[in-house]
Amino acid sequence: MHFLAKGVAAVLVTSVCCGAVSVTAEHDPLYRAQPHTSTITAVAVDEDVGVASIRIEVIVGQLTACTELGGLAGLIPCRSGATVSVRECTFDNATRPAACSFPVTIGAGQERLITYKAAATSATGGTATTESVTYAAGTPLTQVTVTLGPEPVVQQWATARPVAWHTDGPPGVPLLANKLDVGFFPDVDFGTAYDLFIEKMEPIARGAYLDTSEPFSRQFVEAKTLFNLWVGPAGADGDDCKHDFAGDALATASVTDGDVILHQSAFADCSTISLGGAGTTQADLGDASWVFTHESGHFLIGLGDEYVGGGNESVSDPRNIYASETACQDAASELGVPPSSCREIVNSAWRMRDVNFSIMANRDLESDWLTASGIALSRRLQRCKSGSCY
Amino acid sequence: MPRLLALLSMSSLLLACGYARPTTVRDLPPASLAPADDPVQRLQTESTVDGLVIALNIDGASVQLQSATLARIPRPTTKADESNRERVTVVGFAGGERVSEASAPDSVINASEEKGIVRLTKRQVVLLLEAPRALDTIEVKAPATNASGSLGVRDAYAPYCPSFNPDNAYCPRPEQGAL
Repeated sequence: MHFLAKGVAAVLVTSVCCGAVSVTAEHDPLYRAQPHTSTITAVAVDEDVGVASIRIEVIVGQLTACTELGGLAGLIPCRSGATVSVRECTFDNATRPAACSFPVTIGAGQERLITYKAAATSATGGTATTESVTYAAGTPLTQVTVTLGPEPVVQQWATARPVAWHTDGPPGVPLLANKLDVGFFPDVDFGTAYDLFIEKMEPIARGAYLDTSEPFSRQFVEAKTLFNLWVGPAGADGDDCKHDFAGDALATASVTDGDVILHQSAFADCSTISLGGAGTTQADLGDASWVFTHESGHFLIGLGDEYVGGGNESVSDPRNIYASETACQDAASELGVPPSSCREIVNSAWRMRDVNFSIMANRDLESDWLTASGIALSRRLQRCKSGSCY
Repeated sequence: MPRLLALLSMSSLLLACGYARPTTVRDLPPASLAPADDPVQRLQTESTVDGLVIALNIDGASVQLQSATLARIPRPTTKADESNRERVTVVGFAGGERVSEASAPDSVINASEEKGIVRLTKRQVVLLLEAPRALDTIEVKAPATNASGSLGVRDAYAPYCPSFNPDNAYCPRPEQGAL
């Protein structure tokens, strides 16, 4: 029901803004490392003339480490034996949200790489399409055979596991360069309970990137096609502020821009303040999605904490923490923010305050990316749209 | 049967939530897709290169190689953002010749939600280094803690180069005197 509630919310947003047919598509569950049925659902809306049809195109094949291309095993998965399926749902020009679903069965021992996109047509012939999303599903690959010379080499191997990989990149843009790639990893405190980690990860990822029910996620949801989400295998360890990756987890950590290590037990979260890095989030918190979003402000955008007792430094563009009132006011003027908004957080740390709650200052689901933090997020996303996020 | 149940289940939920029901549902027969037409395979063919996954352990001024693994990697992009001054740079060499360079953010400055700013001297850095030919050495610089070092990466090629063969692109040149 959570998925559907989110779908309704998404539809409401798009239908109010555009006045034309719109379509969104998602898969559910986001990821499972075991046999299951993955359901792709597209929801279209055109309140004026109604929805005539929805078309879902799905490519399914065996997830590989690209060894079929010759050469070395890959970190990002490939696909072999792909088939394309199409489902067309027609509607009686429905003016309320119209939904069309396509289930994909993932059998025992299979790891599938699935790509889908959806298109909707209105009663008057208007069209809308989604971007392609690619994701992994099923029992993960653990071994590859690489043939570079006369003797094949058998290796233990794990590819990065895409949860939402936007594969419609423009030609010529290097793989992943124009997206913010975020990896979710289980901390060692999950032990061998990988499925439990996935269970905890899913609502956090949904809450941050897909769910429009809370204000704090609004900007990430609007920009969700600029974020690729991945899950890593075991091998990450978030110990206080130290974030270590080993074994198979390294493959995923090496291709992502930012990594969050989810803790099962109570933990004081700590993240690198950098333009790409790692952080932690305690998965059991009621507001874990908000906490993850806040932490990603540190390790993806380089923002500092804007509250007393936090990490009051920044490397973002622009910075959101300043060493003096004058520096803060000068920056505010340049950014079009009232210089009078500059407030001292603590000795030698100033920020631009807004009357509303800020994600880097206020632990509140109503918070948003505001003043310098909002501009830093916006600039980072703009860089992604220009072809390279960093 | 599970597929049917899932369909029924999803359909019931959609209807319960007020979604319009399809008047017809038509499935086109699945068709095989040639690798050249598969968008994922196209991306991989166009955008991946041979490289090393490098994991470094840095402790103050000391740099150690945790692991170096040969892999097909996404073609690295130039990290042009200069606002993050604290980056770790790695240069790859083959036979003394500079072959490739990569950098990654250093994780020195951290925000602890309990302690405020925490500066780490001991940290891990993971990055991808392009290796169009077999590398034998990397040079590492981490200016945040004045760390630097020259580290051998020949072992990464060992599975593919059981004995040195100059015609094997995955065989780094042996150390001087080792031939």
